[in-house]
Amino acid sequence: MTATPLAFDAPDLAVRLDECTPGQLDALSFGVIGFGADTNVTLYNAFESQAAGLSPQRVLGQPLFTNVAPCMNNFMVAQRFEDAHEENSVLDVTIDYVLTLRMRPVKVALRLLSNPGSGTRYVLVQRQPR
Amino acid sequence: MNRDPAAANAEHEALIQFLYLAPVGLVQADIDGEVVMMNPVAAQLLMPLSRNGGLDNLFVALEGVAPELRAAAARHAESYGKVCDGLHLHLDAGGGARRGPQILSLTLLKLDAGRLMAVLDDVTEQLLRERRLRQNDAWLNAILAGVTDYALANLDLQGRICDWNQSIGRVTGFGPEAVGQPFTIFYPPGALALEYRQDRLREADASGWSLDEGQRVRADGGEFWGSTLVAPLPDREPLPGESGSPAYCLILRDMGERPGQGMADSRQEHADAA
Repeated sequence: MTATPLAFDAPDLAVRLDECTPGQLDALSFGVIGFGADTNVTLYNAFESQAAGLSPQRVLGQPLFTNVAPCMNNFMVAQRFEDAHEENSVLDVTIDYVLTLRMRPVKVALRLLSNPGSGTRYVLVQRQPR
Repeated sequence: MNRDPAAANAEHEALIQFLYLAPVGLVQADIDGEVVMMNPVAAQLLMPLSRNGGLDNLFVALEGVAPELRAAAARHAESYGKVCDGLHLHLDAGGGARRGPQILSLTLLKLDAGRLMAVLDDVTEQLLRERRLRQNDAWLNAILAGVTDYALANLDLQGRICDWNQSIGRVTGFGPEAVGQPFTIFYPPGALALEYRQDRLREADASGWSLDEGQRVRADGGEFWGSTLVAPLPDREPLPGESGSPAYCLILRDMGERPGQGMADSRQEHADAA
């Protein structure tokens, strides 16, 4: 791990996030949600917790697309992970999206990361200037 | 209201989570449609409709599927009331939305002169079920109107005829006065044991159906050879306030002349002997 914090648009980010400690994830200036093949949330960093107004204990172990971030449960986000899983392909795409953080619609960039060989998939959230 | 800050924070967080998890889309907007608050399901349902990648304005987001909405809200003169109630929005099924909702239901409520609230729900499955039900009804009506040798009737838990249709009239000659009578009115008087009706119903309950063949009688007293099938219906517990609801279906087939000896099975002999 380098001393420089990871950037939202850094290459090979999934692999590098896999190596981060919880403390390093909490120090990032963008939201990190990690989840397994069953969609249950395994990582929820401090930035995301603060933005969404939910503490990690309310979120960890919950299914992401139905119980944590239902706003992403459509073909733009959830289905991309399903498709990547079915096709056994690498997913690394960044899309413009709107999240409802504390019920306020907030424009964000979402980076969706999934590697066939890795157990953890990631949704990364970066706020966009309005 | 709890004054302990930690408890108040926990309450606030629980309320936030309640809105995150609510399984319908909720949006609050100002009178021009500018979104003030929305919950995640609203974003889930609306994001695929957004043409500019944002959800700043409800009317803009819905422009492609409900272009008249802005004008309808502006026309709504009263300060409080529903601008639309359960309006169906048919989405473009193309693109990547092959597994997504096809039809949304939208209710738009004017809260006061300055505020609107919208409720959005995915009603695709519900509408598909309703359509299948209407199609099944149409099939059944076509059968009831078209079959010539069969009478189809609903029976209640006691084996009484629940309703009348053309097929009953055609095969048996009985009119609507048959409703409320036991299905044994189609049998020659005095030919049946007292327990016959209950026995048929119990057999249908136990084995899924009860079939017998034998002499049957029309309203005018004329006899014919027929088979009677009784089968239990699902969901037959009456709803509160309901009585005499269908519990069995009866299919009475007019087989014409009595067949030669030896054709009938043991059930028919039982019916004849009873």
